[in-house]
Amino acid sequence: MNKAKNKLIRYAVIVVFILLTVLVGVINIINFTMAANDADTITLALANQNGSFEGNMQGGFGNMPQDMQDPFSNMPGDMQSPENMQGPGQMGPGSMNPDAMNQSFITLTQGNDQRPQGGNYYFDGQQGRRGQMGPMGPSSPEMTESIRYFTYAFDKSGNAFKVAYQISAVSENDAAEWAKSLLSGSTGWTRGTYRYRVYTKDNLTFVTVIDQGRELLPSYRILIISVVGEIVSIAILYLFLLRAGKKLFEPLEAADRKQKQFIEGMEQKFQVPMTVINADVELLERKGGVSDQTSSIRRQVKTMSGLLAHLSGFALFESEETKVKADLSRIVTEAVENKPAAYKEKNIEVDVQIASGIEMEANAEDLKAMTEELLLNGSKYAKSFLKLSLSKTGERIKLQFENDTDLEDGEYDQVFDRFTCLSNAEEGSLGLGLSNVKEIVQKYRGRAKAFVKDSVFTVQIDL
Amino acid sequence: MKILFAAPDRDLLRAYKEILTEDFGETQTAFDGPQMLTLLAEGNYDLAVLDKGLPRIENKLLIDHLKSEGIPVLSLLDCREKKEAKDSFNAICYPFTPSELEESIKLMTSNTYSTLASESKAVTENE
Repeated sequence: MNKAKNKLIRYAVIVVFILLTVLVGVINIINFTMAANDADTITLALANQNGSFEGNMQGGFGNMPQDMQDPFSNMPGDMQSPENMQGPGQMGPGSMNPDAMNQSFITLTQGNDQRPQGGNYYFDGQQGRRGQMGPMGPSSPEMTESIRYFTYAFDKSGNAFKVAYQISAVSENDAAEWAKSLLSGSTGWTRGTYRYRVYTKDNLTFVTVIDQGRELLPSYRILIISVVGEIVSIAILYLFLLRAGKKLFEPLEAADRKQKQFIEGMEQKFQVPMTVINADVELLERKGGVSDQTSSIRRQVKTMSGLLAHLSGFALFESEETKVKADLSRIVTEAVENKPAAYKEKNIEVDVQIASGIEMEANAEDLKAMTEELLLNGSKYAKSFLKLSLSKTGERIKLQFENDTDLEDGEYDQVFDRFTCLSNAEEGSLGLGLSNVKEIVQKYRGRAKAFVKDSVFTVQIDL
Repeated sequence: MKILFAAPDRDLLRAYKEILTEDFGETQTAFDGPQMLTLLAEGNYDLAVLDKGLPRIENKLLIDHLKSEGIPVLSLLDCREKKEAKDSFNAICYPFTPSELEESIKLMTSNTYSTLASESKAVTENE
């Protein structure tokens, strides 16, 4: 029962762990990808301004190539002064033409469309409409003031020319060396939190490096918080399931216990009466001779004895056992030595090929029961021979029983189903023997199959 | 051969008293522990067939007493108990047929087991 409970808890934790990991992974991948895209937007802006924002602060993006939008240069003269800004949500005093304001914040990706896109909000001085948040991210006109970067240009000889140096964390010499080391790339992250871009213009190769440390800090925080949150969630789930699992399984454990007690009690209650019936039938036959009635009683008692022997296999949950190394070679050899008398009585030739030293972690009684059941089955249905082989290839153990038969060629895995008997089944057969074999095999994560080929019935066990 | 058959089921005792008397010789039956001890005190037995569930006296005490008397013991167990039983004594598990019981008795009363029973008596006396 504990095994089933632990299995449930383990699977539940694994599934939740996988789901949370995927979720956290997707969120963080998207987050960092967006951070990279934002950084690329800025490096592209710099590339389009020949690697420098210097001298272009007034009015936003400033002097841009003819084929790029230049909203501030299109603004009315009075728009370029901060004192003229007005409207709800705006920062300064004064008035402003709302229409002109609408042109103020344009991203480089918009082409000729001057309206902000991609979720950027903008100030709107029109009455009745709400001005919510200011522009954010790389499209903000504040970006040119706040970005820390450097740009170096290199000629074909490898000589470096400083284009822009707006950074404090790196010296000019280091910046030049750093930029030179990036010449073979195109764009990407460098030294963890710096984004770079390499581009050529006028026979010069430019390398722009921008510092994104401040922008990446929230992303890293989200990463750490999400991972820690996931670990804590899994731990809480595990503890909860440990506690809840106990309550959940209590009724099942009680049912399992009752069933086992019932089966044990039934076994005991039946055993002595059947022994008495056997003894009295013996006495009747001694006094009055064998009759159909006494023979019938013997058969029925034998059937009931067989059923009793398999009753313990009907438990709900397998019992907790400690598995040790069992010598399967020895177990099979001993079982063959003690094989049913029917082999001798029916003159069945038994051919045995048992590789020595084959061991496995299992309960020796289970392996013994499995082998004895297969030998018993062979003794019932073999016509003239039984071939038994035990071998090991790598980690796989193969136990095979073959006997001649009248059955037609084909697959016969149904013999492993409970209460299933084939057409050649012995009278009184319960159809439980091979089903017990399969249960033992499955207990040790093995496979069992049965088939007939060329009038040879084969039971193959892989462990 | 003189056999003592002890089990808590009267029908079982009746049937096997008749069978074992016919096949082996005098057979006495006991329904519980005190009755068994009384019979032991009155006669010399060659073999005791003892049901594990014989009431009123602990089974281990009865077996120890039989061994101290040098009497081989054939225990009647259910199959679960037989699997768990140590090999220090012989056993047959329910349900059994008369032929199975008789085969076990013949095996036990062979010379080998008589010797083992005597050795066991010697060990107990030394203790």
